[in-house]
Amino acid sequence: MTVLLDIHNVSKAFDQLAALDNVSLQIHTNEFFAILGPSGSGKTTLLRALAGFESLDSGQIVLDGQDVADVPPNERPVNLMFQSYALFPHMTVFDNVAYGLRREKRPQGEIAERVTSLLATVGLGDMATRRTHQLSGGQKQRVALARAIVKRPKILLLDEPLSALDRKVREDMQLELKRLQHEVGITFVVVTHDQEEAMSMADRIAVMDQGRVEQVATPVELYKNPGNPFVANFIGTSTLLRGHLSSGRLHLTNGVKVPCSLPSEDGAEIWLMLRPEDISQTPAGAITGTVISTNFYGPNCLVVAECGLEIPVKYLVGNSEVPRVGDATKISWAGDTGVVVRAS
Amino acid sequence: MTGVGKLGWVLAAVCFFLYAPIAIVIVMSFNASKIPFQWTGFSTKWYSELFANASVLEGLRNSLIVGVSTMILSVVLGVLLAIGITRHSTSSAVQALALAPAIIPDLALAIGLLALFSAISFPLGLTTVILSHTIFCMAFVAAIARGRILQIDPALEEAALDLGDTPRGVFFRVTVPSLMPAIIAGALLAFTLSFDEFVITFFTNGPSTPTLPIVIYSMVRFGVTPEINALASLVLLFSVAIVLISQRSVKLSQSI
Amino acid sequence: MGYVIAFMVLPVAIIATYSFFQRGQYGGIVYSLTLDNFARALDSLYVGILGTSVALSSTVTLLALLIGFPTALAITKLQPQHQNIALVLVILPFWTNFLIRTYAWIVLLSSEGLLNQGLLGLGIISDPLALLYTPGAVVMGLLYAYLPLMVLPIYAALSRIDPSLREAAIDLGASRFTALRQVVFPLAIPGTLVGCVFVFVPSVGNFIVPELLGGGKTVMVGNLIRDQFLKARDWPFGSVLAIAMVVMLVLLFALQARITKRVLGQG
Ligand SMILES: Nc1ncnc2c1ncn2[C@@H]1O[C@H](COP(=O)(O)OP(=O)(O)OP(=O)(O)O)[C@@H](O)[C@H]1O
Ligand SMILES: [Mg+2]
Repeated sequence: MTVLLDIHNVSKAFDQLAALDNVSLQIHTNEFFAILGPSGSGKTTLLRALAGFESLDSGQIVLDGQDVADVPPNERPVNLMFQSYALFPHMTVFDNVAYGLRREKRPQGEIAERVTSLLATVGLGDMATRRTHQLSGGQKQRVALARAIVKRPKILLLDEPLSALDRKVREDMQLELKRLQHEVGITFVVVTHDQEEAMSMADRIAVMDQGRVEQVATPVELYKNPGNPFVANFIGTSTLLRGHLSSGRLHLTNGVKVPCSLPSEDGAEIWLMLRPEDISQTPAGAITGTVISTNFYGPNCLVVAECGLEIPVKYLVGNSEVPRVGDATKISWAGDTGVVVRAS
Repeated sequence: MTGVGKLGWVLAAVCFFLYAPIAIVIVMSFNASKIPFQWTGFSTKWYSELFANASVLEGLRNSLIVGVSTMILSVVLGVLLAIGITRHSTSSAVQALALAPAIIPDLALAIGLLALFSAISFPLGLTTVILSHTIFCMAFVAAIARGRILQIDPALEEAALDLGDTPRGVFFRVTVPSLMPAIIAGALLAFTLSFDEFVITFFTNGPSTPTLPIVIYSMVRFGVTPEINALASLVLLFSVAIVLISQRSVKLSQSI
Repeated sequence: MGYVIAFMVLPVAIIATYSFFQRGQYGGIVYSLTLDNFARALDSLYVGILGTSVALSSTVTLLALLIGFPTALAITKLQPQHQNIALVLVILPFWTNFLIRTYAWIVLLSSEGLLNQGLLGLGIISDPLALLYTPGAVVMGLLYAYLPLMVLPIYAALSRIDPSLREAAIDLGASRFTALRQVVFPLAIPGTLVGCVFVFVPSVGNFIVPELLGGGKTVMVGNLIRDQFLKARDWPFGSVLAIAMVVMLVLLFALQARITKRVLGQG
């Protein structure tokens, strides 16, 4: 695996606010890379810096062995698909897609051929002469995608490409983006705040928060081994409990001691991350609490119970054993379940 | 970023172009010399002479009468008009027609009104001037009030009705207060427009009641005098002050 | 509140209909309908005046466009809070007395005026230039009066353009200037045309500037209309000219709307 894009210690502040704080990432050739983070975490700023629209306060961006600091955005072999699509309203679909090729002064014939075949690929073969305001949201999204891809950039940057679409179209487009990336063989960097989207599409994911990269890993790894409490909280549903480990038992903050055989040094302060499916509701449970809400998810029900810990505990029960809100409940988990997360 | 720099110069040059002539008039108004173009020293004597000039004072009096009457009439009518066209009409033609006097050339409006007054043999004088000013000022007031009405949540009035207020009470206790910033801005605007208005006054006024712009017009036709400089400076500062105040209240109305 | 609408619209409607009625009906001359007044407007004398008016107003409009567009563009590049200040600065003179603003140019341009004094003092010229009472002075005065009306709609149009459109063009390989030319300019056309109409129409109808700065030597349609009403007392003919002016305004707006539709599609 060769490194195509090396982002090295990049920082960028707006006024006092650090939008990017010492960000380092390596993105590989032909990878489908996702940047995931809550609103305001600096995702768009990072993409705009890669595209050349944001100058850096410090750090380097090396693309294919070349530092791009002095390369203006119109000469970078990188294209950006804008969050708002930014389709030119005074041009047809065809002219929108052809715009970048015309700037390269390609011959007419080549432009027509490349645009037409790409429009067919994204399923807009018969829309070439339409104006952009005559398109649906999903169609606009495809035009924006085609326009950014047609120049065959080394990297395609996509800023929340699917966020403006409704759920059904979004799911179709996730598959289609994957297929397209496979077909055209371009490295994709997708920004999203939707973790399911990132999990289902990306080869690797970088989780960002407040301008920092918290963890870079494959989706499975992120879910199974979150690197810190933020990632553990952000990815999937979980309950994070703080505790003190001593001779195979975890001393929780409510005074209850539970067995814990997870690998960790004795006497350490740790965070224990438990997924809802790790916890069971049983009369023999060592931890008691009060049910504060129940939420149905298909065959299961997510129960939230107040147990005198830092946060309410979330666990799953079958639909036949759902407690009522206000009921007392007893829960437990096996000593070898859960993940130890180190505080960062 | 050289582009921004160049454009910055454009902006500075345009501001110079817009303000230098005005500034020169103001500076000249403090010139002690009787010859308008030779600076011989600082003096405020032209201002005192101005206040002794009977026709200027007469013009000022007439202009204030017209300005205040126009302001009151055009605010009342303009606000009602704005409520009418935004709440009770979906026809864009009606909306355009109501706001038309603000857009059509003043000369066309002036002769239209002159023709109208002659047709009904209404004697020309301050009354006709006030009526004429009101027609185009209320269009401006309506435009401002309309912007504000569109911002106000219609549920406010419904809430007041729901709480037992009468329609009339709702109008005075809810609608008018929430339109207040727009009303103030519109009133000030109507006053300045009327106070500075020349073309329509020129056509619809009788000979015995000149307004200040008419007086200025007849003075200016005879050339440059230090007295006009002084008068011009005062009128300019007065208008600027009112416009700035109305700007503030518009901003206020946007922030509320 | 339907009666409110009727009450408000009535005066406006009366004026509108009246200007159509009066052509043969009023003016103290004849009460029969006639097209003679329209025929008279085609007389070479009046066509000449119309030509002068259109030529001068077009010059004013073009100059206002050339100055106003970069000005509006410059304002959009400022920070938001500074944009408001700049806008107020540009509009403020427009809200002050028109006569006084025109008068200021007499002060500047007359033969003893400041411009001539300055040039003489610097030794650039030996005799005062005839600046005042020329078509050039009229153009200058109108430009000065109506420049804000060009800047405002162009600014409104430019500030409505999504900045990411320009960035998208640059991202796809356009230089800054190409992006301006191919994306920003076309999208600003509608607002720019509004500005042109706003400057052109009052320029044609203006009679103060030709009189005060043109010294009566440059006669424009506005002067002609005024004279028909107040001096020649030929109201029907004056009305024809005024109607022509209003019709021109309507036609120009219709043209503007058409072009806007062409540029942006139906959107
Ligand atoms: N041009 C700017 N000027 C000042 N602050 C900015 C600017 N652009 C972004 N910021 C700030 O930088 C931080 C990161 O913004 P950014 O747009 O990168 O977030 P994001 O992760 O894309 O969020 P979202 O998911 O809401 O799009 C935010 O706090 C934002 O307010
Ligand atoms: Mg973003």
